[in-house]
Amino acid sequence: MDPESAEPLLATGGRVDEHQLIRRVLDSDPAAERELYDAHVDRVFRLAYRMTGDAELAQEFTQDTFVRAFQRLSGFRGEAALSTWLHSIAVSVVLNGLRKVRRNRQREVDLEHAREAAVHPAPGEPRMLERLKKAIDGLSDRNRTVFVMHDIEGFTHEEIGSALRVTTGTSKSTLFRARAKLREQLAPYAKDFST
Amino acid sequence: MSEHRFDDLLREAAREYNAPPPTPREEMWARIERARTLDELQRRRDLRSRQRLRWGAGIAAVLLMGIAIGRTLGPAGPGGPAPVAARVEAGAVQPLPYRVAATQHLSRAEVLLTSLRSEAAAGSVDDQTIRWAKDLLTTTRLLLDSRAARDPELRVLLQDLELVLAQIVQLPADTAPQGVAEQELDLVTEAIEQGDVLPRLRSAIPAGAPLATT
Repeated sequence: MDPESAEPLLATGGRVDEHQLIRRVLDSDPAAERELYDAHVDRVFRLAYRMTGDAELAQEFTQDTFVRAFQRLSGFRGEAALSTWLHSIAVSVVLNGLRKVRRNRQREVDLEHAREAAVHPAPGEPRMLERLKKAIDGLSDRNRTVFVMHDIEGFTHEEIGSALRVTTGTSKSTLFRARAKLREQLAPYAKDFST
Repeated sequence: MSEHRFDDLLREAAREYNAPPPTPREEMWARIERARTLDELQRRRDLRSRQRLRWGAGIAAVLLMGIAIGRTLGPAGPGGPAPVAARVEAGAVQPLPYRVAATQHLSRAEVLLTSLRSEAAAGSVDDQTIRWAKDLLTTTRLLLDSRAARDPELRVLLQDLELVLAQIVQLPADTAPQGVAEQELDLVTEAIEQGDVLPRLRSAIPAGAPLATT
């Protein structure tokens, strides 16, 4: 789905509809729960997938995001849009989940790399997309999150700021740093981009 | 190539980065619903058990007070009124409160013995644990004198527990020479192990079952 069209259907009805929907969810209306889920799931899943690159993890984190959101909905004060609130839960679930996964996998990955290096000769020049993927993967969590949210998923700096609990200015400067890092890493292959 | 142009090309290429497949909506919704149902069940279970615990604690307090009063007044003469505890046993209170009191007591004893075992492994027992054991010892003795002890199996368990608790209460304070304390501790843990006290306590506590079932 295109990020632009992925804007929750609630946006058409504005905050009033959103408040009504939340009230219905809090009154244990199962149809309202499903409505809320349908309105936001695509964007949450896309973000989770972009951040993890793994279908199973993305599903797990998306589910976790909604389960937590339903649990905490009574505490949602409505100061920001529901989507912003949901994305902040999603970002926190994804980043915390990824940290846990990385810790668990670190050993396996180290062993796997050591084994591959021993068995296979050094690979030839990786394809441009692979280089790019590696460069993005190599960014810090914060830089990568902002880059993925803004440049890939089309979130605004206001949305990113709310989700990461930073100011809009911090979001902008983080994006600037992330792009600079990528430019630096990919500079030797700049020509490949234009072809 | 200009910085701006490079950024544009980068953004373009980055669209391929971890490109997401279509959202598996139904699959995820089914799992969310399941998790929500489990959550709700757990919440209700917690609420029920909190209510039961409050209710059970009240009954246990009444029961213990009754036993204490009964002991103070002593047995009634042939013409005199029956003591409170005796009247309670005569039917005003059904066996249920005794079971509630006994179950709660056994649960607390299990927690105490479990933490004592880990403290023993570390080499010393906290003063607080000994004070806790003293409280439990008093309740154990009250229960042994109550209608709860009419159940022969429970009676034996309470007697064994009394023995272990009495040993814990006798444990030397932290200031005792290391060797003495260790020896005493070994004796306590040995008594727990040999009497199978912990497993018996666990099997006497109805796991996950309502405390007040008949």
